[in-house]
Amino acid sequence: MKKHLALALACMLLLFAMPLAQAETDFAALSQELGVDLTKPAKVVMWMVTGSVPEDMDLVMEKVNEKLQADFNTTLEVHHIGFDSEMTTKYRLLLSGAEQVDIIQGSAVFFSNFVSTGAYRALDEYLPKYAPDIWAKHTPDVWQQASYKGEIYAIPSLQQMYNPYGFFYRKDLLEKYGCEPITDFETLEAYLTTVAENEPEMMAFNTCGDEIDYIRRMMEAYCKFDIVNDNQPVAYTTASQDLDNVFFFAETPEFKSFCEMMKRWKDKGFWSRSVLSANVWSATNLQEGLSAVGIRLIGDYEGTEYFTRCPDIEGAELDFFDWPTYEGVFHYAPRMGDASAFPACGGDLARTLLVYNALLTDREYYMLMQYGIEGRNYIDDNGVCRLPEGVTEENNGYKPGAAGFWPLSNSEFYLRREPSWDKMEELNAYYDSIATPDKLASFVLDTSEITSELAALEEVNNQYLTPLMFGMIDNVDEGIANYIAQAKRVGADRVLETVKAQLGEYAKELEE
Amino acid sequence: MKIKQSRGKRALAIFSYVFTGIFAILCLLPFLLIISASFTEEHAIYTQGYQLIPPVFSLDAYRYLFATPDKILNAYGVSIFVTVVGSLTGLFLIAMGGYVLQRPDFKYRNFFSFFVYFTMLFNGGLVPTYMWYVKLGLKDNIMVLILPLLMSAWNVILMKNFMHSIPHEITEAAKIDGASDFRIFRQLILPMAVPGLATVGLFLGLAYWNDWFNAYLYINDTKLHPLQMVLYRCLATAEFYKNQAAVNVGGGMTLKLPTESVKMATAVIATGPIIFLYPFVQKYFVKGLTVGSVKG
Repeated sequence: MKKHLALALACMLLLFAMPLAQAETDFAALSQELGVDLTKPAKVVMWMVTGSVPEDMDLVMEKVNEKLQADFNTTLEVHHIGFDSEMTTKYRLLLSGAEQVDIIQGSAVFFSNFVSTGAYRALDEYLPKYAPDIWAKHTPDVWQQASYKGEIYAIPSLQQMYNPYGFFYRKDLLEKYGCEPITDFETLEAYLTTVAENEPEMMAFNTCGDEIDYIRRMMEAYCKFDIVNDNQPVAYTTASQDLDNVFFFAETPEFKSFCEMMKRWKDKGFWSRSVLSANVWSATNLQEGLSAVGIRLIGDYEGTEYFTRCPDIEGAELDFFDWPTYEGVFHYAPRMGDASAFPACGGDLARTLLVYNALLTDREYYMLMQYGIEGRNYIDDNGVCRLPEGVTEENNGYKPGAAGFWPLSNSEFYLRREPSWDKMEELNAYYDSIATPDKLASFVLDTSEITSELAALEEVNNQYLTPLMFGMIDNVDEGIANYIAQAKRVGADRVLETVKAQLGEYAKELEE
Repeated sequence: MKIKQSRGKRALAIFSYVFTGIFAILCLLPFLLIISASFTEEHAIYTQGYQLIPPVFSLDAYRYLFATPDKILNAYGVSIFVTVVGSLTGLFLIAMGGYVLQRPDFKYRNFFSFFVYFTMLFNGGLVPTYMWYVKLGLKDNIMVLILPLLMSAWNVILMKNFMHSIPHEITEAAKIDGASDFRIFRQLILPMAVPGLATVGLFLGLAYWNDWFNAYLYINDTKLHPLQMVLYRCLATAEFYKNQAAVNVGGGMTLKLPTESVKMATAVIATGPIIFLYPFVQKYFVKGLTVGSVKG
């Protein structure tokens, strides 16, 4: 009896084992084919940046790893850095080499700060062989944007974005007082003046000191300038990107006109007298009914509609005045807005790129990473992303895009979101029609020679430029002259010369 | 016979009471505002500012923070464990260290004192510290919340000065009676050093309770996150969604996250337990500050 039982058990085990053995991928053969040794299991560590980690992250990664193990004998470990004040500290520590990091978020700001330090690996030789799909999908000018000194150091996402900024304003107030539609800064000023005179409950343009970067963009729109590179505050060119014409923005008549306008607005009481110490952004104030305009991104690729209305205010309707239309120039966002880099302290680069290629271009991996588990976190309803029964925006354990996998975006597999802003499609089509290539997108500025001047300029800008831009000075001419003198005292000229020289070389390379 | 206070003395007394009373209320006011703001509706904070009594009462902030109560309760557990274990162990080690460093019969006490003091002046920096901790295997390990703060040089020197006020004759007398060093420490020195222990214990406890940086750098496993880390994350998330409307994340979100009231609520949740603890250690604290100030 016992012998029979043992035999039966052995037979059953064999029967079960056989299908399993057949289902195993033959990694030896696959290694030969791909040119990467996949016979031993390994892990790939990926670090992304996000505001908050989704609750279902572990569940989703389990599914991803099931597939990854079958396909490449690899496990993917994903970790996150928070979008907070210590972000750069943590990022720098990860690159220090204390632990294995294969893939890291390498978008614009990170890229320009760390690529010259040698923290990233060059990808030129590996890309065509191990990430052939990505290599084919990106055009040479996109690779140019991800390069530094002739070598490619990052992989941008496969999704073109735009970042059009402008004003959102209360359309219902415009109609109430019969103001002219807003198409330029004069009509905007007329509208704001009317609101300031007639609506005591709100400030016309309730901005704050923290928004100085938005005010700077507003200055660019008004003067029709374009900053040469975000890592320095001095050198600007014209909005049409005439690269031979680079200047210190403060020395131009357009800037003087802008400052006079801001002083006029401040004198008319459009913002509070303690604007420099305020910290609520104008867009938030707009939605709370405390401002008649707010500066914001006009639409994003998703068509997020939340900020196109004021949920708490009865009868409020919003419309927008966007700056690209005013300037007559519109560029797509630099491709490096979302990209991944591959640190020197990683494991086998070939294997990492194989995995990355799959994550970005294989639909099954893509949907898991970006949208979660079908049926649990989302439903694909003919190209529209819907929520399953019982799942709401709030309790969805894997909100689309929340895991910070933006560098892995691919417009091919994009699911439309609903509700989305009804003006989004027409706006996207409009921007598509007026878009021109951004000549400055792949210009990386080497700041190693001017770091002390840049640090001093930041101080000078905080002390002299910010009050000037908010109109908080007594005399505009004196204010501008004082700022220019202070900036030159700490080396603004040197920064301008350095940028001009590097830009000159870059422009020559562009022509080739 | 009752001694009547002269008018001048009485006036001074009244003035002192009124002055310190007003000062105490002024110190208390901001905290009352924080508690009140944490219970106020977000829109009301924007339109009416901070008030002593919430104009529009709302539990939204607490609801957001306690949305997944397990997270906060787990964080409380981790924080309490780390603070209690860390403070008790640390206190014991620091007391031993301080005691030894002030014993006149310890030949190398000057060398070791200087050694300890030197680390207060110079520091390797964040990158070498990070690499060292990672090599020691402290990543995702609860010990990384306890070990770094265990024996800070400042506390050791402070304890050394407290111990100095205990006369050395006691130790000598006990030795003559044949007690071992550890017995002397345990049964004679520690009871006499209670004010010092309470002071250093409070500092240690506060340091452990407030520490989130170590968790931020070294711990990825959310189950090991202490309270301050979780609150910091909640706040950063809310700020992120509020100000980063430009970023393509969670698109189509209709949530309105209550950032201002959440900030206040995090302050209340984080400081609540300490407020309850303080009255109990207060009397030792006062004694500890003044011990050693009267010589002879």
